[in-house]
Amino acid sequence: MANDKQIENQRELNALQRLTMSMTGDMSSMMDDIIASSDKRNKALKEDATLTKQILADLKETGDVNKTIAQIGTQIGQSKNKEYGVNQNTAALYQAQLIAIKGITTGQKEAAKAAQGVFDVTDEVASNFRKGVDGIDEFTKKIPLIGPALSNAFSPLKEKLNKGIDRASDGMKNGFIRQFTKAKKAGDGFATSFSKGIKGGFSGASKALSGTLGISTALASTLLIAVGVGVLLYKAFEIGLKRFKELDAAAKEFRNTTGLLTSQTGNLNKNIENISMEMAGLGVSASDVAGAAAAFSNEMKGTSMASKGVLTSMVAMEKSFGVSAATQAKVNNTFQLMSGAGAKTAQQMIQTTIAAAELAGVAPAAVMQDMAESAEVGLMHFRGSTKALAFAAIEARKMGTTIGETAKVSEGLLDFESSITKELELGAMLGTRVNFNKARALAFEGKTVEAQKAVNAEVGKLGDINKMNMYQKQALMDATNMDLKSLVKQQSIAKKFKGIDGDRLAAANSLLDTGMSIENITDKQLAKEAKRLGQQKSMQSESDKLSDSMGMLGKGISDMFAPLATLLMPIFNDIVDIINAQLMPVFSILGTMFRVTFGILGAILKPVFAVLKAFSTAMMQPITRIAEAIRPIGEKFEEMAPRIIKAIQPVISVISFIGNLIGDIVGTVIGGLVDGFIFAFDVIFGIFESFYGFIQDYIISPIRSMLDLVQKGIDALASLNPFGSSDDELASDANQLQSGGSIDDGIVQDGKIISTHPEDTLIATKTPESLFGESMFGKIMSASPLGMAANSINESTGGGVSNVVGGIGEMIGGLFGGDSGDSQIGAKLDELIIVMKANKDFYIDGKKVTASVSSTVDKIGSNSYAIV
Amino acid sequence: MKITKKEATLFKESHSRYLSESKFLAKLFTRAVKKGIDKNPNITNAIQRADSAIDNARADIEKKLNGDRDKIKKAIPLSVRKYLGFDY
Repeated sequence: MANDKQIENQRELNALQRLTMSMTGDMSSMMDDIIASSDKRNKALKEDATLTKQILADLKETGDVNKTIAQIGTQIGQSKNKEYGVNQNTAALYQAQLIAIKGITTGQKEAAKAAQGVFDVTDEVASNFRKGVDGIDEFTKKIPLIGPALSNAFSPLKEKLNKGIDRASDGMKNGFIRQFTKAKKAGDGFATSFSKGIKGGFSGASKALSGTLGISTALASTLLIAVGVGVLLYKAFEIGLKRFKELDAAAKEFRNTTGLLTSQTGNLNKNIENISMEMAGLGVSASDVAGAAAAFSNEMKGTSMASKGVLTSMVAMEKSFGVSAATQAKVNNTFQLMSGAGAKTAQQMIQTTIAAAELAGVAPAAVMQDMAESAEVGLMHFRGSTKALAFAAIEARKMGTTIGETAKVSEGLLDFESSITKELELGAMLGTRVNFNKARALAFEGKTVEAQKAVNAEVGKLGDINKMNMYQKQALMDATNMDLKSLVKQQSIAKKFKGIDGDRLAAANSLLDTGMSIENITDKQLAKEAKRLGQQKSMQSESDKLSDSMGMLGKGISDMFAPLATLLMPIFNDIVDIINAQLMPVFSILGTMFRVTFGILGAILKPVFAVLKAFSTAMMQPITRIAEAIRPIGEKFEEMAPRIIKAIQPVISVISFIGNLIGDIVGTVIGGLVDGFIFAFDVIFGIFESFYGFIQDYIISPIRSMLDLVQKGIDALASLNPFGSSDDELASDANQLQSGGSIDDGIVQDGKIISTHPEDTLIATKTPESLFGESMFGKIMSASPLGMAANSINESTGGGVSNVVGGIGEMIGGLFGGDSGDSQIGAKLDELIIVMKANKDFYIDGKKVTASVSSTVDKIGSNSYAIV
Repeated sequence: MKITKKEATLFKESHSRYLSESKFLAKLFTRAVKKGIDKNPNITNAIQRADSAIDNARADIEKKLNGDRDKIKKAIPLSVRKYLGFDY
């Protein structure tokens, strides 16, 4: 159902429609002429013109231009192929008329759309203005003390403003339609007519508003000052209150998290206030500082609190490098426990570690997280060296693992008996020699990452892990104490990034050497370093983006742009420093002044109000009694009130008039202020847009174009490289890993791998000789490492060991052709044990086993881990 | 604060553009409407389509009647010719 506004809009649009109807009326008359002049020998033209006349009559009746456009369009199409015979010349005129009708109606349709658009915009603006007036009223009411009075004074003006807005809206629409139609009638194009229409609308709005408001300039200036001062005071109070609330909420958050009392938090409130102000440039809020303080306090089990320097560092590292305060607190604790240093020195170590991680090209947050989760590993393996722990975490990350995982591998290697057995099993399954001795020795020295590297190097010799069968993979996992995903991942990374990051790691190591050796750092030095790092990072975020792009394009282009970055970065740094240097002291002085002023004011006002409170309490009793005493008089006056009001009615009218006058002035002044603000915003945004446009057009766009061009060139060159595609291979490996070990030549049933190719099948059995009968080969198989490995599955029952021993005995017997009994076998075994204990070499399948085992055993002092 | 008559006159003159209701509110209002219209692509597109429709109609009529002005005048009444942008 159409509302009043829609009906009113339609009324205005009718003026536009009248113009169209006038023209279609003229065209209808032309149809009469066509009908009258057509030769009756061919009736086609007469019939068509009659139909057109009917269509125009329908349009007049319904106003449906869309239908008319469609019908006339059809007539134009049909008339092209029609034979009008003797009326051919007249038909040409008729066809031109059809085109004209289509032009008129299409123009009307689009003009109506444009006009409706103008009406919609006008209605929206009017609605927003009314909301603005309501907003001013609401704002005025909130001004302390004078708010309600000002709102009352504003009320009459509000009413007038709303009426004015309605008039402006009507004037705009009316003026637009009038001028638009006039211009179109005069033969102007639609664009010109529209422009004239808009001007007419503006003029109509201005005229409609004329005389709506009445202004008294003298009173306006007085009220302008009163309102201005009131608003400024209110705003100043509001800003101060907001900051106070923010700080208070942050301190409360700290107390809630830690359970500490206000009296136990020392300088925390002051630290929150100062740090949040000093680090505001990095986006640090009071809540961030309180959160960091709580994380630290909780990690230290409430035994100590973070100093200002430590807190500054924590929030700076959190905001600039994404290392959470909780993670930093954990690592700080670990560093303190490992090195015996204080919290400040430990925090300095954290900063150094973060900088080193960034230098090495790994995510500082991931490195710190790894260290936070590996506190026990740190204490267990790194002999109190925080530097070794930090470097190990960075290096582990670089290899695609963590120090937790490397420690697990080391612990596995140092479980000698089990590790060596699994190593042998792996070698047997792969038919090659696997030697983790170097890794084992490094693990024993506490060099977990180096041990991991040695394991990776040994695994690297075994070829592509993905091509192993599931038994071999399982054996590899058991021997290395790593999961399959980690094995494949580390192998891929080692293959892809082999040796390319040596320089970056060396630089990180060097930085750790310097940074970790700093002792007894002061709070001030720590905070200063944290700010420097934080700012450097925030500046680097842009240069890093540039650097990433450069990485793709090659070192040559990077070198070309380096001087530009060298020029710009220090300038930006200097600008920030200048602003800081100029503004921070001013804010600091102002803060001190306010603190002193309001402190003195508070000291004076508190006793004054205390006296006033006591005085008023004392005064209230007699006043209450007086009030009760005079109540009868008041009641008497109540009875007299209607009579008095009647008598002072003329005076009320005068007061009402003054109220209206004041309302007018206040509204106008506020309107002036609004206009001023709009102008100021236009100017400021204009400047920003120009500046941004300049940067976009003359710096960013040319650089982007050039970078794109060079990138395309490099891509083209890369496409010629026949040795590329390592990324694709890696992706393929990853897919194979996800599929859970697909095979090319396996046996698959119901979509699951049930066996490898028969030729590759590995058979495990308690009685290997049963597979080959009682022949010599059967005996050899049962005694081979493969047989031993299979039998070892049954070790827990004891049967495995006896089978192996039996197998060896029978084998020896078979070899020497004797029909030996148990005593002979026993004798030979004794001989074998003596040989093993004497550290002589022992061979299985032509491979020396005892020497490698013995050398490891020697390192730990005794031969308690020999095979027998 | 008390202002003299002279100050009041001076204030009125310097702030007349804000104090005159026909200019003050109307200026704010019309500026907002203008911005709204400029940002509304439907309006400009409709005007372009309308101009395009009458341009095409004019061209088609001229083509149909071989540019013969007399025939065009005979076929199309003056009001419509003006509307369609014929200059005769």
